[in-house]
Amino acid sequence: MNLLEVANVTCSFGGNRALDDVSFEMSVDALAIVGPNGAGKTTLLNVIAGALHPDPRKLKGKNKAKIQFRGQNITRLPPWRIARLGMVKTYQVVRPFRSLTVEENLELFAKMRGGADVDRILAATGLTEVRGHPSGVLPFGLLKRLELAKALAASPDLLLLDEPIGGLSRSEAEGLLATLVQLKAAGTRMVVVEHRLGEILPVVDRVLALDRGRVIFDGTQSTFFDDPAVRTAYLGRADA
Amino acid sequence: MAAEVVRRASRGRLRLLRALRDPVFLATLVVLAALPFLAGTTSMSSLALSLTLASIYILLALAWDFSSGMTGYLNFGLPFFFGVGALTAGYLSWHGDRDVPFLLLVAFGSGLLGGFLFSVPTLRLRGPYFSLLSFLLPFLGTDFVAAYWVQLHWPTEGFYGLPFLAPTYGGMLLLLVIADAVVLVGFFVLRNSHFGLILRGIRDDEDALSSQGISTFPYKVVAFTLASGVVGFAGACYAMVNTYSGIDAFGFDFILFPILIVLLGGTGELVGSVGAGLIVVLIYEYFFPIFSDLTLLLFVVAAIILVLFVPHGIIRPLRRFIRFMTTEEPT
Amino acid sequence: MVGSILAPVVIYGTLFGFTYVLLALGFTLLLGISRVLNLAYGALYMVTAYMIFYFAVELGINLVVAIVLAMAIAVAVGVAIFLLCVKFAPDPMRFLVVTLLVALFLQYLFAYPPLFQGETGLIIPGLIPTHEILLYGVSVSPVYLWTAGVTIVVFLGLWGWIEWTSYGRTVRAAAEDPETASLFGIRVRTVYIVVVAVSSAIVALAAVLIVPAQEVTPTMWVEPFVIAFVVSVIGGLEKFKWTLPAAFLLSFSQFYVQFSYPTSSSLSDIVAFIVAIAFIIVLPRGIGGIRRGR
Repeated sequence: MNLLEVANVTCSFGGNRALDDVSFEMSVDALAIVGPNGAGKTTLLNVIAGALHPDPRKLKGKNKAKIQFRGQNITRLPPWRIARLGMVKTYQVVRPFRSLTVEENLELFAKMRGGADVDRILAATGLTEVRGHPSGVLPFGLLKRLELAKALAASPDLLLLDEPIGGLSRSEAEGLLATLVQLKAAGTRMVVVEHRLGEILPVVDRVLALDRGRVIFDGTQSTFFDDPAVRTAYLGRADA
Repeated sequence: MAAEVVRRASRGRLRLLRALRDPVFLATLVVLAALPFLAGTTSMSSLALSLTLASIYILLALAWDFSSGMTGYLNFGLPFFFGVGALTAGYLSWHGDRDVPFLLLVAFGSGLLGGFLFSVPTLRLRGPYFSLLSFLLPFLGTDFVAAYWVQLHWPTEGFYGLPFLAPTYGGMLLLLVIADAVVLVGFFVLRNSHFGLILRGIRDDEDALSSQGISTFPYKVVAFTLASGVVGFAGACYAMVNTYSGIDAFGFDFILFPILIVLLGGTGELVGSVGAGLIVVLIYEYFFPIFSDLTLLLFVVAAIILVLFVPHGIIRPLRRFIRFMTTEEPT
Repeated sequence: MVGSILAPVVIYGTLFGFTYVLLALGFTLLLGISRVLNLAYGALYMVTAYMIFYFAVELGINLVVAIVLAMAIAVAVGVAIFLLCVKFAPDPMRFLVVTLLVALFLQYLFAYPPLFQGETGLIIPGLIPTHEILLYGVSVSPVYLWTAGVTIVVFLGLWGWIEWTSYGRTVRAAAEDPETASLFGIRVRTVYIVVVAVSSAIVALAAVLIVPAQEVTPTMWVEPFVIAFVVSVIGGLEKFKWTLPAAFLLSFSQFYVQFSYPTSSSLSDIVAFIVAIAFIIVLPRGIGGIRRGR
């Protein structure tokens, strides 16, 4: 049974097809979703996490949109139910609970799903020293780490990370990626949306590429850079 | 596994103990304890009466702060539960029930019930829409009473002859101060527990909380139900201080003053409400003989100024000041 | 039994339905476009009434001039509140508290005895004769008939403005996506101010038409607000065409209850509340996308 299965997801806004019949299966430990700007990466993540719904018409009949998490159909479940089932998403634009301290941000979720070891998560994400600081005044790099830590506090089986290193400097990103590698080794599985290819590909086991809402590549990084569809998408575009 | 549980429990307890040692919290308890002695225990001084009134408003402010101040869901329906508590006490005593503890208990229960019944359908809406609906509540109270006085064979002017809350004015003040302390400590403990953390998280970012798996609805309902219970209790106290219970208990005073007090004391801080409550009521009592009707107007203006320009009240600057005075580190 | 209350319920229900539409239009406009929840909305209604009293009755100025002045003041107050809050209280919660306080301030101000005789109800003159006439055996003031007509005109005018004119398109763009709109050069703040002004003018107009048939009291700001809010809640806040059925639903419910269960005083607020709660529970879709989760 695959950890995550996405089938025939189409999602439109106004006249725009943000996602067009997207399907893939995930059985690896870490999957990257990449693609040029506007490809629909964040939209896909939001649909999987339940924050957005696939187009209603596509939910009936054959070729209907379906999302399955460990065999369970989660297509129309609300986000909090999905989170309780073990799949937690982070936000691209960080959303800390500003009036609470770093520690308290984690404690909010620490009682879910059997409980989490807040101290261990703080250590793993490098936040131990700032645990008592109000989160509203943290620098950006630490806020990104907090975003990850909050998700971990909910004891997820699958992490959905939305541009976890977006906006970070090279060295900050290196640190956070190292944390991701450790988490992966410790058994946390993840789907990462990122557009910083060079940094994210070495961390994951498989790559899914989107362009203008469509899946154009589903394989490993060894064949990624030579794939003609990928090259066209990244290099052959008028604004590349 | 067991070690995990213990570690988690002690983390919560540590936070609570640290909070209980807060100097402002302790000072507030001391101030509360001093009030009855300030007023004298037997004389019906105007100071005793003012402090009694202040204590009732402090109860309201604490309840409002615990529910609305902490979650950000502003409840303008406070006067409804206050009136319900007052009228319940009035009605029962008119029918011969004059046992004070019993009346207080029933009023508390009616507040709980009313709060629960109101919260369940309305807390599903976002904050501002909940607030507007809650705004309608006090008018329901007045309309209902105005419409059905006759049918229910209630005395038109209101219920007179309620029992006194305590045999002496000093005794009433003592009782209310104890109620203040109990409610303060109770809400304070809740505030510093996981329950309180979630409430504060709701105020910061309810969407983020709920999308990460925490169902915020039960927490909101519990907070508002408890607060409404306290308000109902306060309503009965008010009725038994005046030995009268009528439609005036649904008045705007009982939302204006709690909001003003909480604004002054700091929203979500709880302890601020005590000091702020004393300040507000005593100032009002002092100015009323001078300005009479204008006083209320001036207080509304003061409230507007507070909301716009001093949103965090006096507590945070006060705490910073105390920390500044008591630490050795350069700031 | 039904027959005897049918005529009054239908007649009053219809006429007051139009009144409710007029009251709700401004509120829905405000909410749907400026996304502003204004507890002082009803206070503008009250301000108009008191200003007409002041100018036309106390100062003896010509009625039409008095009306224009009063409406201008109401619009100015509405815009002033909006600007004040935008500058100092940008979050919805504080905005709500401020507007409640402003409404209370105005209530206490108008109740202050040296100003307007305190709590006693005052009467203001109107453009429409208020003597009741008989309509199908039901005694009704022509004020409401005229109001119904004006409401239809205002409704169609507003609709036309929003849907067909270029400025209406600007307004809609600013409402849907203020950030994108400002990127396209639309001055969103100005659009909001225009909407606030229009909405204030509508509620002031309602006061000019209706209040002569009623009383002017310091607490009169509550009723129009309650009606406007409940109608908006029932109708859904996205498109103001829904205020039509919502308004009539409310007025018919209220009058049905009033005539079926006569009591010593009005139950209309309670009916409004119950209808609102019923809709929230049963048909949250009627409330558009404002339910928790959006």
